Amino acid sequence: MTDKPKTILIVEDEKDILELYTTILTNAGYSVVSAEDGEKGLLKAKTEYWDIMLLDIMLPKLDGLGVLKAVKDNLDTKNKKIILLTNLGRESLITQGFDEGADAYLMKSELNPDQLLDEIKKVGG
Amino acid sequence: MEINPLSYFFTTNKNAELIKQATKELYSKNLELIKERRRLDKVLNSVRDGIIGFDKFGRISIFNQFASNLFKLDPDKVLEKEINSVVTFRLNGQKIDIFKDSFKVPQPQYMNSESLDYSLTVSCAKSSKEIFIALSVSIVDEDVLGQEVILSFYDLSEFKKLSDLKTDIISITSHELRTPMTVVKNYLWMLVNDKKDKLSKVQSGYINKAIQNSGRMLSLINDMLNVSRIEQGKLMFVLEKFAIQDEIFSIKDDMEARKGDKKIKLIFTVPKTPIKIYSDKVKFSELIVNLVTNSIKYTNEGEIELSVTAKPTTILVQIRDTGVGIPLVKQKELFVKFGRLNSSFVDSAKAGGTGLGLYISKQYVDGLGGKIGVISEGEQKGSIFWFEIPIKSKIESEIVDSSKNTSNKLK
Repeated sequence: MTDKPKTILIVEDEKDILELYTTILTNAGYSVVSAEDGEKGLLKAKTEYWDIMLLDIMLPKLDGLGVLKAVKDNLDTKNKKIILLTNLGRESLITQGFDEGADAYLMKSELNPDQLLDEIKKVGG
Repeated sequence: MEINPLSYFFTTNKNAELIKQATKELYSKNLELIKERRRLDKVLNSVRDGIIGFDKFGRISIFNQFASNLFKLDPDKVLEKEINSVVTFRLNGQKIDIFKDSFKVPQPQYMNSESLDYSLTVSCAKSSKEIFIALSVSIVDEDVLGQEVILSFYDLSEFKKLSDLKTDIISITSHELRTPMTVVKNYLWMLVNDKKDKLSKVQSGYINKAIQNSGRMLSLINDMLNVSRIEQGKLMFVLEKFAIQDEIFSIKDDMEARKGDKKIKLIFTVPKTPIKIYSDKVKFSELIVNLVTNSIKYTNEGEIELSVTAKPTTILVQIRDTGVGIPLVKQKELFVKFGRLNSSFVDSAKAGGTGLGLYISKQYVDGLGGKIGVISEGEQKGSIFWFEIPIKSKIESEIVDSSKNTSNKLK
């Protein structure tokens, strides 16, 4: 545990969910960077340091799959871990997300804080 | 009125009286027929159903008022025309030759939501405006040349509109309810699991109750959403490889919490070596949660045992309880939508929930290519709910959005 804390980039347009996840992750010792739409998310993905991205699929301006594709097309970021955030009923989008190289997905309504942290640990956080 | 002069002519004949009698009878029979014909016409043109008849060659013989209003066609102009050149029937979007294949079209026995399980539409051949209908087909006469057929159909447009509206409302409100509920549940969880500031035992108890109930609310919302997805034909699956033990043990605490004060022992009999399957992880957990919660609901005391058996190509999950059991006659109804509502056997209000869990579970298992069922020897004898799904699921393209192929990259 001597590693410096990992940085999580959260891209999520629902403010309450964004605040919730930021609190959970900061309490657990992670650094958090966040964005509220796809375009800003992509910009932060390129300009700021991060290790793991929590990426909502339904986003304004540029949707999660668009962000995912751009991040995976970029040599600097293509090996970073991406966890898709979604809700019931978006299954076809998750399958597309996996095809584009996402590492895992989480159903927001099914999730407890400890499960969120577990999933982040699983992908290497 | 040509009969009267004729009968007059025959009065000179010695059989005149007989002929006169016969003519009189013929006359009144004819009058009867005319009346009968008028009655049929009235019936045909006053019903609120479309009625179209065609002869053995597919030529229109009947085209009632309702049909002509619906298609804005003059009945006199379509009579004798070939039926397929006048109206077009489509079953689930596919054009059908109603002359040849009228009996291949599903005919609902009653007007209920099942009439909307498939989409049958009819449109005037010259217009693209499609009307949702329920059809009934009957043969008037049949010989070597073919069949004379009558089609009668009920306009489902309003029914369909209302049903779609209902589905949309459920879908939209559930979406809107879900986010705040998710946020509430998570903060409560953080409150009770905060390691720095410990709550008193009583306080944690209160909050745990709040967490359980917000979880219940979320699963009700998800049930409603699931049913609306099923109704829209949009139930989809995400296939990936996972160890079933991970899923089963992650819900164990939740299940312990759900049984509350009931004196039930929860037993999980699961092999230690990881069983990896290629299936839908979230739906697999939901299946288990649905069945175990169901058993908890109907068991007052005793035990509930979940066991998993790995077979060469499938896995079998069984949930055995010592609960109220299910009489044989009721077992079939269990997996039907709102099956419980029709059952006098269960006090719906006491059981709680939407009563949709088993219906949704069946849809999941069907989608994954498996089977689901129940074994119970009767009332008060407990039940075994089971499902068996393939170790490697293949989803039919119509269920999963096939714009992209299912990935093999999943690890």
